[in-house]
Amino acid sequence: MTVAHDSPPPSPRADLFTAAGFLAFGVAVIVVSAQMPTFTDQGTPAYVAPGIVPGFHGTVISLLALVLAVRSVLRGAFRPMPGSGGSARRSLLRIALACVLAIVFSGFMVGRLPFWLAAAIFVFVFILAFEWRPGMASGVLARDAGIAAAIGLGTGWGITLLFEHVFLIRMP
Amino acid sequence: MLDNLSMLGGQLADQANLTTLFNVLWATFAGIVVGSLPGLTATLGVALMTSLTFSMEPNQAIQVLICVYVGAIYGGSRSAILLNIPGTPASAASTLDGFPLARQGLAGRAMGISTTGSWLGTLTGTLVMASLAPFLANFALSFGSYELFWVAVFGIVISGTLAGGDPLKGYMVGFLGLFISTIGQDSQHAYPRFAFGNPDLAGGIGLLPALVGAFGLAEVLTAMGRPPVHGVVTKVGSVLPRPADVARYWRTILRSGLIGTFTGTLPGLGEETAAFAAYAAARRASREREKFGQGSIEGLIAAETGESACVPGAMIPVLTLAVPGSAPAAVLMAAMFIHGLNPGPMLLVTTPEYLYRVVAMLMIADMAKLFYGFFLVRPLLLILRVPRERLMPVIVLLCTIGAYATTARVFNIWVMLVFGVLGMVLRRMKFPMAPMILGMVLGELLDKNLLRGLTIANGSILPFFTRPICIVLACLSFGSVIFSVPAVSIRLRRLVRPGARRRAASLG
Repeated sequence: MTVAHDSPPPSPRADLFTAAGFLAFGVAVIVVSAQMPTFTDQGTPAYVAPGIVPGFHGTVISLLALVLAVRSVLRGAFRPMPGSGGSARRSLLRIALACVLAIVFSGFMVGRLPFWLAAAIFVFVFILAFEWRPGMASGVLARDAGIAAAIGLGTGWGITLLFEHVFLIRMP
Repeated sequence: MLDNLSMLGGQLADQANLTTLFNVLWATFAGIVVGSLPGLTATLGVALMTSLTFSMEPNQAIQVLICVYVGAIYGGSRSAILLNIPGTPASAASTLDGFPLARQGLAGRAMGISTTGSWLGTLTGTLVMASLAPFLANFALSFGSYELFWVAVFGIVISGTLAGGDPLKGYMVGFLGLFISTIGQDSQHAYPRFAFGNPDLAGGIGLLPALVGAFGLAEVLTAMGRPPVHGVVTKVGSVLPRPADVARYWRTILRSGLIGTFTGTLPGLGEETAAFAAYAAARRASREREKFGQGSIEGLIAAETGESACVPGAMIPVLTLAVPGSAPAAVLMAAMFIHGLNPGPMLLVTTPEYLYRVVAMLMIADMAKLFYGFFLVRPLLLILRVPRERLMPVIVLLCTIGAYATTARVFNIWVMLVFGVLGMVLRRMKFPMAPMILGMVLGELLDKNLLRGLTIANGSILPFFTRPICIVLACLSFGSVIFSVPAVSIRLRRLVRPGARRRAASLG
């Protein structure tokens, strides 16, 4: 339903790393579930212990991760792979930049600054960071910065007003 | 029958007021805009709006959410036709013939036919829902803990198998979703599972912030990694549909409507699968098969009818079993719980008129969609030209408010961030998101009914495998897992094909 249609399929090696991550996670879930109390001393049967269901889920995740790992090895996870191209690296850098900006805004600015100000700064920096190109003329940069500032202030103020006064939501 | 019609009439009359009209108009518009913007999905639209309509009167809030859902699924076709990029995954099938038509200078005709197909699709699905849901609800009343456990298992399995891509990865994220639903206090002993002393984690992971992260922030991050979009078709022409097109393809419309509705009823499949299933069926049955993919009116109308019929289809299991048919329907179901309605078999016992209220809401949303389909073409072209770099930070703001709004907890903003980053990584590794969401929704159903069933049967698992409905659901679940193993399905096909060839030879 929401599988991306436009990116290439992951390599067998990438699948192997994902499988390793899921396996480690599944095993951790089993271990933590096993350490949960069973409450049998209070007269309740063992099959309603709090760790039973998550432990089962952890076991299934681990088994499926093992199947994915074996499949990725059979598909050549240990064979030499061609290096990722420049466009793939650029794409990853853009994603990383968007990720960092979103985390800084939502995780650290919201709640510490008034929402309209945090929103205005975030929108301004986001637009400028993604519209900036090396060797950009200073005039174009100044115009883009002006547009970004206007969008940032307009969005911050407009969204705060809309949600506080129309949707009656207390802003963070 | 007359009782049902009078209940529907009563609900339509009840909804006929200025407040509803105002809410329907802005919500459908918002849905179409969300759907038409590549990177924003119907699930995100419904999830965000659930947070924002939290303080509204329940009926108005559900009407708004249905309008956003209906509008967003339809809105995706605008960018599919004009940009060759589906606005939502549901509109992927519409690009196959919609964009070739636009390139031939027939963008207006394509948009007109997609509007008509979408309108008729939702109408067909709504009528099927009004006729079938009461019978299904009666049937669902016979379900006990054992059956409901298998309904949850079947939902995860079928969603993992058919949600698109690799079934193995579908099962993995399905079980990840089931695991996430176990975080927090358990229902038997109130023991805080996986909380590690953190009171926020002991309260559990909220579905809405997780959804806003997995479908909102993850989409923004993924979209920012893609190259810029160029080539909006700007010449549209008349969008009024030709009655001849509708009359000529009425069989395709009816077939696609029924396929879309049926696909919608299967847990977790959703509108994208419905559109492709309807498109494939239309192609097989068409006399103009060679035109498919080159700008076929029939192909476009099939895809649009199928995806839009799926919306009411996905609501059928929500209302009768409390099992969502699609990811946006999962959010809608969560919103119903938030507003104090309890979807499921008992809903139609305690408030039988509520089914017809939802039917009336769908019909009203469908009419608003038709209105905008004919009058909102040019403003949408302007919205589609907004650069992604300027639009996406605004979506991040909305995601942050959406995650925070329902409970006013900063913890939920962190949940949104974690699910956003996790969703982006899983998406890049081709893990479908629908099974995870379904897992989170069905986790409680599975956990509660498994423990309840074991308690009733004194620890015995036999009733889970001996009751008739359980046997059917268990066979379907195991069957679809086994059939999804490539080696098994290839062997089965080899076994079936010689038989088919022999039968064909004996016939003639």
